[in-house]
Amino acid sequence: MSDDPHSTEHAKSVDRDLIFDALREVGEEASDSLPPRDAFPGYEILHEIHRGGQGVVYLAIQHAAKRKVAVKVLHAGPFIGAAGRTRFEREVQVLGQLSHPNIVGIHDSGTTADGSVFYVMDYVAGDSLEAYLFKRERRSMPETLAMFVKICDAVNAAHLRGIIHRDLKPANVRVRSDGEPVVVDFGLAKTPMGDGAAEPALMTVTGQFIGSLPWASPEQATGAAGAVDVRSDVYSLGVILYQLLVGRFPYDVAGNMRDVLDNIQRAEPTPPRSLRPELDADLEAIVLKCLEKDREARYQSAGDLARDLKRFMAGEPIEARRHDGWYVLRKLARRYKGTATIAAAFIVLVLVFAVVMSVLYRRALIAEANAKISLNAESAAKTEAQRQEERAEWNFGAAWTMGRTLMFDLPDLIEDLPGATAARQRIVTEAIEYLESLRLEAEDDPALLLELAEAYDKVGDLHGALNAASLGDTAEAALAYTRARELRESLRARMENDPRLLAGLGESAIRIGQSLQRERRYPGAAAEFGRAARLFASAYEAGGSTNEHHREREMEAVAKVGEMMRMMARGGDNPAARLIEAATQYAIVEGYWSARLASDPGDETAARKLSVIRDKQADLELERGSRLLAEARRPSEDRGAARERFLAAIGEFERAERTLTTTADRFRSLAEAQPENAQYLRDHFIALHHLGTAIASAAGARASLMELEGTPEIEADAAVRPERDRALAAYRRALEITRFLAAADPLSLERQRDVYLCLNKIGNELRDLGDAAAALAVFEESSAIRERLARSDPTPRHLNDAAVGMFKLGDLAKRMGDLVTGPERRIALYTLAIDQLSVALDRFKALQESGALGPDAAEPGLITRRIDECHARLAELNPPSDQADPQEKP
Amino acid sequence: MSGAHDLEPTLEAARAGDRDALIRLLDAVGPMVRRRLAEKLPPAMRSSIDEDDLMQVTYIEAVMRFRGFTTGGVSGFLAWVTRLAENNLIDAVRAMEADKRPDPRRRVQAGPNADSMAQLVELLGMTYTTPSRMAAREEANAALDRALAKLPGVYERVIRLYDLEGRPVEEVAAEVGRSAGAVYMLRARAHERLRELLGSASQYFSAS
Repeated sequence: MSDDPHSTEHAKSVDRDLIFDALREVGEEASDSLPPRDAFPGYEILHEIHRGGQGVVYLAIQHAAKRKVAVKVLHAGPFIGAAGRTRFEREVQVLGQLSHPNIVGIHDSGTTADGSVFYVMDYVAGDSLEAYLFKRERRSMPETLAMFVKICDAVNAAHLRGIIHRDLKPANVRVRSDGEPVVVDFGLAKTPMGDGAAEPALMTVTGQFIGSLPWASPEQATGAAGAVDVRSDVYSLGVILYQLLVGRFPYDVAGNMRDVLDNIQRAEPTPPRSLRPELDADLEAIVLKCLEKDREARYQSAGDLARDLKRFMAGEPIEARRHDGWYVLRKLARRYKGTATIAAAFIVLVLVFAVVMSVLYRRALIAEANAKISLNAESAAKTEAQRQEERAEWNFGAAWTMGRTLMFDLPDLIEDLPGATAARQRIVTEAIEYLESLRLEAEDDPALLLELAEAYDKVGDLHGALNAASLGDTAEAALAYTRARELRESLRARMENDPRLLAGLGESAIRIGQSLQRERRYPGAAAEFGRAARLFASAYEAGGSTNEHHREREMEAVAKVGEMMRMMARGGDNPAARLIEAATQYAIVEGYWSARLASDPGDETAARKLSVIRDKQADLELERGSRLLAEARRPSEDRGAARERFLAAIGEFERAERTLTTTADRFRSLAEAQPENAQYLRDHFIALHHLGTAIASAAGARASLMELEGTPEIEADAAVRPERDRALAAYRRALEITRFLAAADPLSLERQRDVYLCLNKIGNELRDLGDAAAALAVFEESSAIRERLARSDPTPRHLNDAAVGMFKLGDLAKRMGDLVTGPERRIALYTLAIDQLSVALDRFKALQESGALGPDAAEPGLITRRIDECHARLAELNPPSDQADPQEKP
Repeated sequence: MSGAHDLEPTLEAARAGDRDALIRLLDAVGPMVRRRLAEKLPPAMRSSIDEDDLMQVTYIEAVMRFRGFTTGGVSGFLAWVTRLAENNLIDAVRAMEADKRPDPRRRVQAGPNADSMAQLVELLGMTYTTPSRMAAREEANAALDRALAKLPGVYERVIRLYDLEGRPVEEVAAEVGRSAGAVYMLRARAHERLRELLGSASQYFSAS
């Protein structure tokens, strides 16, 4: 909501304005009487200039200086609220820090006798830039651009102080009668020292957009306050420039708020030259670069924008057109994503990149050499030398960009494609060579070293990421991660307390922790995750507590510490204490997200993350329950104690069920509100999956308790049948969702994997319900998917899954053998079980040899025991004398 | 921003006549109402019923009728404003639908004259009750004029342009700077308000 003293512009979509209109219509507008003459000592109020939701602005005469000033007064009264006051004080503070000829100056501030706060600023006579836009006689293009450059410089001056305006629009730029622009209204500005409470959010608690919609950047339009930075202002400047050049908005900003938000986020700007063909192509490139949806692709500061405009005005080559090539290529890659021609398109892309990069790289070196030669030549050639040098720098930058694209963008684009893992690795390896060679060029430029570290992280991910398609090469991954950490550590002395470096070190710790986790070295992993959490916390503080992303990463690290505690508990390392530690970690995370959600109920990320952590908490309850259950079922357990434990376990399961019912509902409504959001569907699937487990576990515990109390097994089973059916129903709903997701995204291996995970649960349930045949059918389907995945993408993870699948089949065959009567059927089942279990055993051993499975993994032992049991049953069924050599039979 | 509980003092202040408190209250619940309404707006109607217009009329109603909202807390207030907005939406949708099949009885004949005034009175569901119809009519017209003047400006203009001058809805919409849907909403609300105002002038009319 704009509350600018000079503003006449009211975004139609802003409710506050509608409310004021309503007041006017009803004739109950606030009184416009002037304050008492002596209200502001030293100033004489002349008349009211503007009245907004927050305050009133008067034109006044400053007695001492005998000049006109503007006095802005915050509405008085006990109900103005802390937020309004803080915002007002923020504006005073921000303007006090800024001294720039093109930013409105503040002279005084204070409190009136009746307790209203006010401040005094320059009175800028003249029109707003908005009025200028509608003027018939416009200035010449060079004059307009020169004025716009001054606006950029003013905004840049604020940026250099860490202040982001966040509400740039023509109405917030006044044009003095001598043509000088003055930027006003910093009431929405984001400051580096802002604490969370005082920071004005971009959306109110109710999801209402604050600011001026038509000029908002895509990141503002999504309401992600944390994502707003100087580049958001660059975007708004781009919209203003577009208006100045073309006289209209880059896309449709009429219509209702949702459509406008959607256009800001998705609609491509109409190319200015399609509307005004006489515009220079370079100018079009500049304005379009400001309006890139991806802020990485925009000018990185208002200063960069100003410089490029100055280059344009001086007839020099501009920065904006440098990236043409790679944008085209990236768009190609996007177009081809997910089609059968991906491989072909991909190879073409890689070739093109390789060629372009080496050409550019060579050109960069030559140009640089030329530049040096020219520099040594006579001074008349100096400008040429400078140009050469600039070009060399330019080429170096281009080569760097190519390397980054190759490294970061392309592999992500094909991440989910089956069989693409090897190709990704190849690209990354090639790219890192380029980056390393560039590093020699750039010596020890911190920015480059940080990027190189990120590149190494990427390499590590490709080698051995825990939860994604990867080559499963943990050792290589660990090496790359260590290299990344070394690079970052080497910068520590120079960049102490730099938030980006601290966050980078946090990322290193996360990744190294994940490698350790992969190797099942949980205590080490927990230590790394703990370290990561501390680093992210430091990054947050070092960044002036403004970058919420660091807090989010901190919470992710804390949750991971919790995971590790659970893993250690599973490994028998003081389980009770570990589970309490895990619960504590989860509670921290839950506290953070619930506070986030409370402060902004429209924050969807917070809503989702809160449900995710609650889901984890429920999962932890399930684990505690299962542990109690296992203890209760121990034969040595005293009856009374066992009964207590059963009841406690049931309590845990029921608590988990309640939580999961809520989270499943929450995810369902999120998914229903945004049916195209696959993430919410998947969240819903996971919650339902856990819900099924909670219900099934409670059923199992209850049945065991009944047996303990003397109920015959068959009756106990019958008694919990309705619960088992409920569990099955939850699993089936989960399966439905995951089948839908897998069908919608047939190339995604993860989605296929979800299907069989769900099938497994259903198989388990059917098995426990005694429907072995149905269970077998389900396990077979699940196993077929696993085998397919392992064939199409033979990563350790998929191989491991396939091995587990084979084990499940073998185990079920053995159980069926135990259940059925008739020696022949039993022999057939045990023989089948031995075959399948042996395959599973071979697979696990192979995994162990490759290092993908820890040497102390329990699976081989368990399978060997199962095989031994099968052999023992066979031996009982087939006394040695009867055992004719089967080979001799026809 | 604050949660519903934090707004209770604001509601109390608004009830005590604090205009700024009412603004803050509407500012807080408005977007929620907007979201609820957005879901209910039929897709086919989106081009002719603008969300902002809907909210605008709702705010006018809320400001005008706030004195009548005497019991209930903030959640009650939200429900109340939502109901106002829903009524607006329903009236607009109904009128747009009806517009497709014009019903001659629903429309006053063209031309601002005493007859159109009388027809408007009938349209409002009032009948003359005094024996001398002609005398009553003049009195009534004067009362109607006075009542119109008491309406929010935009209500009055819509009644005058649409009901009394018989201008097409598109023209009225352009004149008042709102969508056609908004004109119907404004008209429905204006009729309601007129009924109330004229109802108090019971020496001339009685509800039929």
